[in-house]
Amino acid sequence: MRLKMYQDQDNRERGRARIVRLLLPALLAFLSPAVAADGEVVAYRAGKIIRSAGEAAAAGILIVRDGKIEDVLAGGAKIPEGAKVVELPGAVVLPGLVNPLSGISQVNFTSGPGRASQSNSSPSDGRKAVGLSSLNLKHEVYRRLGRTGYTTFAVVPNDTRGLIAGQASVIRPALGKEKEPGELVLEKSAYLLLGFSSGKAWYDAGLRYLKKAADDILKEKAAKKKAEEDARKKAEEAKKKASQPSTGEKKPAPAPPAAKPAAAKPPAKPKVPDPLVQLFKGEKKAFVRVTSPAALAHFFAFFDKLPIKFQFVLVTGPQPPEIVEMLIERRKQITAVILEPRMGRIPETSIYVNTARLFLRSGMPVAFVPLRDTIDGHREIFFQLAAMVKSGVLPHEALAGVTSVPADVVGLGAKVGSLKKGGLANFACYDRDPLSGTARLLSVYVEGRKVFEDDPSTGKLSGEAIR
Amino acid sequence: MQMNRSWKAAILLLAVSFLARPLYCEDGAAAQRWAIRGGKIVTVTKGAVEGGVLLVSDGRIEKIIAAPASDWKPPKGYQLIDASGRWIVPGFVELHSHIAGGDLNDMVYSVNPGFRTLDNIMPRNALLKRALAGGVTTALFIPGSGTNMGGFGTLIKTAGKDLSEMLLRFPGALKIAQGGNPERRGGDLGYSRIGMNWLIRNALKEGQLYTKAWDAWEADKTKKKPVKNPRLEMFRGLFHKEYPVVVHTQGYHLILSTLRILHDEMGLWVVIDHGTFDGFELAPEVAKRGIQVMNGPREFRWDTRRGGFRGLAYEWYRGGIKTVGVNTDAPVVPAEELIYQAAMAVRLGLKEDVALAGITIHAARALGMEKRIGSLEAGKDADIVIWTGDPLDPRQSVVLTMVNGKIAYDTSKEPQRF
Repeated sequence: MRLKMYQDQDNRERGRARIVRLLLPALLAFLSPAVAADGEVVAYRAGKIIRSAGEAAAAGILIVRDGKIEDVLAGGAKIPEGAKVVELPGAVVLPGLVNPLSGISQVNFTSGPGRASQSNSSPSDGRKAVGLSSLNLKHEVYRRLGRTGYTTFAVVPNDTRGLIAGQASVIRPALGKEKEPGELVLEKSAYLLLGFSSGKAWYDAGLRYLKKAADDILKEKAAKKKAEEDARKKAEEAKKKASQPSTGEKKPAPAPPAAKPAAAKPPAKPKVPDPLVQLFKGEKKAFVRVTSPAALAHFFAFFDKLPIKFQFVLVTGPQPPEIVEMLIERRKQITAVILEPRMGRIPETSIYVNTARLFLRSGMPVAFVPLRDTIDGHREIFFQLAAMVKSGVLPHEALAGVTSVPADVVGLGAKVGSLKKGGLANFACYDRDPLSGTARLLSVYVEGRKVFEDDPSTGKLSGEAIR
Repeated sequence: MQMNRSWKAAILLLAVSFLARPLYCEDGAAAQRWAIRGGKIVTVTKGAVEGGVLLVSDGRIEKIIAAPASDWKPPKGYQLIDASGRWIVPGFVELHSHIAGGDLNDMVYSVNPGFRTLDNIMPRNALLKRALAGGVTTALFIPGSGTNMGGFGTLIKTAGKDLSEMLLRFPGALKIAQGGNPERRGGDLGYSRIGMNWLIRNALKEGQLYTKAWDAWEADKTKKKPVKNPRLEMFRGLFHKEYPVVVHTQGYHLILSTLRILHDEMGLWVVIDHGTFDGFELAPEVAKRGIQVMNGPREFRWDTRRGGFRGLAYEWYRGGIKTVGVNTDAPVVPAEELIYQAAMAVRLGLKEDVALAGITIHAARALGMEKRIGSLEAGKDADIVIWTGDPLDPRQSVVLTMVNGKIAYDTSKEPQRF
């Protein structure tokens, strides 16, 4: 009997899958971007544009050519001749949101690798892993990314719970026609993600990998210095010798034997730089994910032992005020903090603390990642941020936390995170102030192409307007 | 210079004391009579009143003065609460809560009609205080869903110095979990839906026969006095529809069983208490039977068939449940976030007034308590919450919560909890 029940369920699911397969092309056709021809200029005119966090919403026109913002004009300005005009009436237009740490492309679960408060599992070395290598374009999730309001994702590799978790690749949502994952990529290796937990194993592994890399660099530097010194001494000696008067005629030196014709060697492969070495040389950005206060204590005990220090973005969970104070004292090393938009609680009490507010008041930039690293988790971001605003984060700080700050920390501030000349035409349109909690996403554009329009199933098929 | 500094300090002190002033006069703390003036009074049932006065006496709402004279002063014996610029909203009613005390899942037997949450209540616990800070003033404190019949829940106010002050009704409702949690993994009875449905039906049948036997005795239709059975005693009120059964039921499949067994066959007063996943597909059937739906804690669903996110409360509404409400299943979603659940329903389609009514008057009506709670009307319990603005906006917060006419939470005197 049970078996029958499951068979029925299977059949029903199969039937559903068939319907989905039939409907998918129609859905995709609906969502397919209106592609502007090469060189075509499109003017998007909106009642309210927030160019970047902190600026007041004002009427404006975005002039877009080849997926980039050519200009941002005031609302009443004259639209360049020949430009196609797209009206966005009643919309509040924001820069497309940026997620600085996500694993959404590989794992669509709440405990995915992109969570800020994800605990680390074992002190392994995954320095060669790159987010890009984990992408599988067959997965539908890349096309759905755009329906969240987010247009940029720094994707960390699948196994990101080690000491050296791997390198993050920055991608955009798929438009549906890509053949290679590389087509989504804005930056293949934006930063190196490190993780740290409390315990001797982590401390030892830290010394084994990170301290060793730093020591090697120092040794290499010392050896180079020594070689230079030796060469200088040698040259000096040679010079000295040359300046001494000769005592007799020297036999002419025998001619060197004719060199054998060298065998044609294949050109040497360019050596892939070690990201850890790049990190210590200041050529690579670092994100460090440390969640608990104990792990933070262990991490800094270890970090202070490193012969070369590096700056990093701290990824952490809600912390009590005294821990925030400790972290703020490390301002020289910590350039920004990535948090989930949720309240922390002082242990053994029922006192709740807004960790983000504490950091922000001390001048530390804060970027937010969604509570759940899923499509719906991303859709909920403004709801979560509104709750942060309730407890002291200023609205422009909340907005910056999902636009300009994450764009800057992944090193793509010039391209994404705000609407400015030369930047990518990535923007999201809401029906009201997105922080009101009840705002609805109307449409999303990635590099000037529409990747999402108000949900067809609830918005259009219902036969009645949903506001 | 010295003089200047002291003057500055004095001015600063004055400014601080002005800003930190309580909303009402200090000597009114013990008073039972309040005049809440100004702001927007959202009655829920009779629209909103701007700049009116709400009078409270002896734990009840005395009356609402819609247009007080410009020189209006509170009557003698009434303490004034200045709520200018605020929203005055009825306390929310949460129909699915587990936060008034612990140990709610006893899983030795699969059906436990003798269990009751009344004895587990821990007044003034920290979670209840948070609920007050989220504007929740009434909660149906029910057993967990570890078994098919967890026992009888208690309807309480979230504030009160002891149980006698908190108690609104016992039994509040029977908790039945139709499926989707009570499945036992040991291979014993209750593993499958067929087994679970038998367990529920069997227990209810026993209760029905017990009720009938006592009804016959009390109507002098039999000379044989039934034997008192404490395990079955609370079924009598259930079958007399003095209180409903709140059903942990979700998805098309389970809700179909709920309608058939609990409503159609047993004739019980039913409230659907989760209703999530694709349960809304049954909305016309549920509406036909006049059953209330309190959707949650999941508020949306990715629809694999048609694509897109569906707001579940909105889908129920669209299917015919015009009184749909939401719940938190606290602490699954924290109790104070009940209003977030409603706001999320609004974002996904529900109208603001429907969402607010769903956690006030409609929730109260679902339990038959609409004459006492759920709206701001004369004669009702003075469960009143003053918000900084529209409660559906997550940036707004509660500044004062009054339960039974007593101030239970006040941010001018204690830290903001939510």
